[in-house]
Amino acid sequence: MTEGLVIEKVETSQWGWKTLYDKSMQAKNVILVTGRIDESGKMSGEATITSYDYSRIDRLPTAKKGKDKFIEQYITGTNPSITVDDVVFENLESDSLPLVQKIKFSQPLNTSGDYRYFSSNILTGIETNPFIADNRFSDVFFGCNQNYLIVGNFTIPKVMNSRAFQRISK
Amino acid sequence: MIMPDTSISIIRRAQLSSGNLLMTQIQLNFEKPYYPAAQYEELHEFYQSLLIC
Repeated sequence: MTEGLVIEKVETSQWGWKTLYDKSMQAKNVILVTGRIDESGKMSGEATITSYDYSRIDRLPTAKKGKDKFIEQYITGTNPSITVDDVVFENLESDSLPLVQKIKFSQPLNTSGDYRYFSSNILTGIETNPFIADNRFSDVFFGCNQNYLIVGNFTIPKVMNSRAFQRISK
Repeated sequence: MIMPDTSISIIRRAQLSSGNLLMTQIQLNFEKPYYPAAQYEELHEFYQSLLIC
């Protein structure tokens, strides 16, 4: 809940909407990914997701329900092609520390003609567009400000030449 | 890339090092939580561009 209807004095009918969330805090996630791509076009790797402030609050209840629920809601829900081999949580009981999620994963790369490609926007929960309708009549309220930092290091086999990357990155 | 009202910004970087190490960085920042329905088209378009990161 991020806003509440507050009735201060019933006698004078003073009331109004009051913001309940802390504007100085964000839903912040830092995602560090290390991936190794093999010659068959499969990526395997490890990721560390550090969730601060409102993001910790959002993820904590699901993390406490167990790994399977967490994987379904925060990983495979937005990226069905990914396989999660393991998840380890840190700071589950330490309210003052960020929630750390250490993930081992693998996923096949996409293929188009002679090219293989992947998105570096992985394990963020925002891999797909939640706004699929062309038109909308209600307002969008995320509940708080958000911040994501995704840092990836991906090792590409030498048989996949770098000209492809250079062409794509132009 | 940035929203017309500058409320959402994304910075993307990629560098190929040593021929086979691809280093990427995406920084995405939302500086307001509320978007009226009238601004939906901009929001929809911005999210579409996230898919190609």
